[in-house]
Amino acid sequence: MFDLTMLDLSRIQFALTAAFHMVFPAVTVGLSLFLVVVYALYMRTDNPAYRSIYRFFRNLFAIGFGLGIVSGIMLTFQFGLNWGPFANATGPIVGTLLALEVVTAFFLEAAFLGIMIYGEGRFPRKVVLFATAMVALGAFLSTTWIMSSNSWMQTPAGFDFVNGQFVPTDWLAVIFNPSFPLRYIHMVVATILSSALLVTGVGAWYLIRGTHTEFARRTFSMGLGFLAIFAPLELYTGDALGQDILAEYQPAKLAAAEGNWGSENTGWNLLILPNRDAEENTFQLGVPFAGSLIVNHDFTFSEAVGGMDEFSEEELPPIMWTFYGFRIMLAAAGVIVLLAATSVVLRVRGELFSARWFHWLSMLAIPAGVVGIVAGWVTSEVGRQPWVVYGELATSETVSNLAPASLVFSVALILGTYAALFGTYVYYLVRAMKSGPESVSDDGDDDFDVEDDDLPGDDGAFTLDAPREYVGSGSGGRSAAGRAYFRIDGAGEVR
Amino acid sequence: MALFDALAPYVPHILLGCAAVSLLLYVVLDGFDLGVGVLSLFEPDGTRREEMMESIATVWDGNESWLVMLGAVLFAGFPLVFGVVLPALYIPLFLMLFFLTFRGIAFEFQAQHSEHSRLWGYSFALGSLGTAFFQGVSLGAFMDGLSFSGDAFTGGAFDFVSPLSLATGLLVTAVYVLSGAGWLVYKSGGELLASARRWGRRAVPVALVLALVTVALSSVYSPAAGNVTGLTVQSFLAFGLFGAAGVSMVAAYFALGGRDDLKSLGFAALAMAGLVGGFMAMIYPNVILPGVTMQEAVAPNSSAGLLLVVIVPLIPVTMAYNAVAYYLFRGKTEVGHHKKPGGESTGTSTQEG
Repeated sequence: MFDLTMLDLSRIQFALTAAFHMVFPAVTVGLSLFLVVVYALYMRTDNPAYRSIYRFFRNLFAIGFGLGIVSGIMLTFQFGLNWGPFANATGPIVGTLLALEVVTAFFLEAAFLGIMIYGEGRFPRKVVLFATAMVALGAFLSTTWIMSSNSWMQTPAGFDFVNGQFVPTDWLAVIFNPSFPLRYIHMVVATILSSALLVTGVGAWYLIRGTHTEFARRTFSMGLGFLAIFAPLELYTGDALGQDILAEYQPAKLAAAEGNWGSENTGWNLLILPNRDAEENTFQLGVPFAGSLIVNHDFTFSEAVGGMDEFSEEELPPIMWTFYGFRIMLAAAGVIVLLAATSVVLRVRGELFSARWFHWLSMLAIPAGVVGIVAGWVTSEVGRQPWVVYGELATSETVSNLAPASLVFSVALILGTYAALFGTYVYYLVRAMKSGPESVSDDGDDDFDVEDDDLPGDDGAFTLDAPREYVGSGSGGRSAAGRAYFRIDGAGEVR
Repeated sequence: MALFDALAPYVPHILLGCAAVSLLLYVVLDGFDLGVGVLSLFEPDGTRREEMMESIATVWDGNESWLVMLGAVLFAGFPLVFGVVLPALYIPLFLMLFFLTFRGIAFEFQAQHSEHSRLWGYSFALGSLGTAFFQGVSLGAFMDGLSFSGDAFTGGAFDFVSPLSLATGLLVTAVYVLSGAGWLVYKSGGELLASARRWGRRAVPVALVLALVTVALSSVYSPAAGNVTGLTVQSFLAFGLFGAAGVSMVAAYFALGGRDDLKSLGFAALAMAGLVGGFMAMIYPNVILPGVTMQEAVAPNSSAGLLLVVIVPLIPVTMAYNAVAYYLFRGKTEVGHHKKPGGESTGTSTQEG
């Protein structure tokens, strides 16, 4: 068991980095869209409740974004560090798509993030809205290129293999490879869902506590609205992915995800304990007839699910990871769909803000989206094994020749660091929820305002002495309003 | 397509040019904000440490993006370089990324966890120091030459340790500090400004000595040394750029005390550009030492085509809106202070030189 090869170690390291990284785009991509909507509503209605929502979630966004960036840089360089031969072989395609991401998305986000976070109060609201929209655009463009290159690795197209390198012959075929459109929509919707769960959960928390009522009602209602609209789309694209893409391009992955060896089971497995050598499950528990319906869309419940014995030992991915990754993703999807459906019923009956049990459920469901996304990636990436570029390039051929000691060292360092950072992130989330948004009733108008800045005595000169007190900085001395004001609190509290 | 066919023979040059521009912009831009981080290690006052961080809060992210750009251009344009050099420099580059992680998250957590600001302050300062040092070490190890065969690295994990790589590690840290001091002179006032001037002046002689040592070591030990022996255009260019870097450092020393708060930053940037340019001139036309040229490592033309058509034109666009972001936040940083767009506040800046 402890007989790990260099390939195993590099895979563990990559999985750790990728899973850690994925948590943050999972929340921020969808949240960026939400922020644009909220800020636009604020500009239209001048309702300070929207400003307070914007600031609160912008702070959560900023921290998630920062963690996403730093772990993303680590991921990019690992392509070369740990997988040198992979970098050399796929550079002309994967590298080019990555370069496209950097010039179209990465810089866009980086340049406008500063304006979005620090610009409120310094620049006109239009500029802030524009910056927020550009950050969101960057986030979606980034997702586009990443999904394109990852989908190409799943269903490669439009290339020749020359001298050990993938040489693109048709860029449109590369970018719009067979699995890209569905996987892209599936991923984008998933990030919208997981952000909506966060927004909903924060609202639910304040509804339960009976504080920040206006903030709570609006976020709770908006979050659930996003969920109700997008949850069905997620189910549809997920189902279509299995039906159209996996069945045709990656049948071994589909078979492993369903966990049947033979081809006579019409049930749908819930738990299995596979034995690879004997080609059977030592333990298997399933729902009768459901497999036929879910996998084959067979309403007579008689068509059996395809089995893994159609594939040779070398073609099959690790079964446990693929099977349970898929089950966990589906369980998360179940929670989300149930929540969305219940919310529609409650909304129609006018009980959305009074059904306390539902508020508790909504709060507990916050992690479901992120869990679903990470589990989905596990299914998709582990299920692709033993290939790194499906059917073309084996993962084992692409690992860098590194000293085992330096690999052990780097894996340990990554594990420790990411565990600590993830803990800090969760701690921060909980604390931000506890300290709450700025009070909506505060009239601290933080908009760009010429008169305000031309007050006598304020000549704009550089001073370090007691800065102007912030009217809208919320309760308890700690501002949730924005990072630009943190320094004031810092000056007041820390020193 | 006719245009593209005409360009085809120059594809390696254009792609190498993109990589060079990314590297140059990265070193010049992230150089100063890493330098600010290193300097914050020597700043005893908490308010001023926060002020230092705040002065770069709006720009570090964009600056760091050039590192990713460099990685992506190499990955796409010279996959062999990405695949051989990165495993060869595994330990220094991995540590560089590790420190970069701690530095990057420090900004967000510092802003949100006001009660732990000391912890995040250290994370920022040590993260910057480690990043700067290991970037330099990687440069030196690269100049030392790598052992590889075909498309795979064949050397040992600690091949990167050498007198040259240690010297470049220190050199890069010193010039980043100089540049960071230049940035603080531009951005700050009062005590912090005075201290930035002091530290900047201390950094100059250190950087000059280290630059001399580094250039001497690499012209003796680097496989690229052969490129710059004798009276060739290449050696003239390389040593000319190194010389210009030295002159810029001396100029930065005097500018640190001058009345124009932007000058020392400018000279520090010139010094870094001179050093980077000098090393690039030394290595050219190789992309891996010893002896892999850009023509041998370049990606196939069909891939380079997309890079040329889409990415090259987007680089100036990217630079333009990053420049706009710089412009919007121009002028002195006002800590915890509400301010107008633009930099009307020149304040106390020029009095204490």
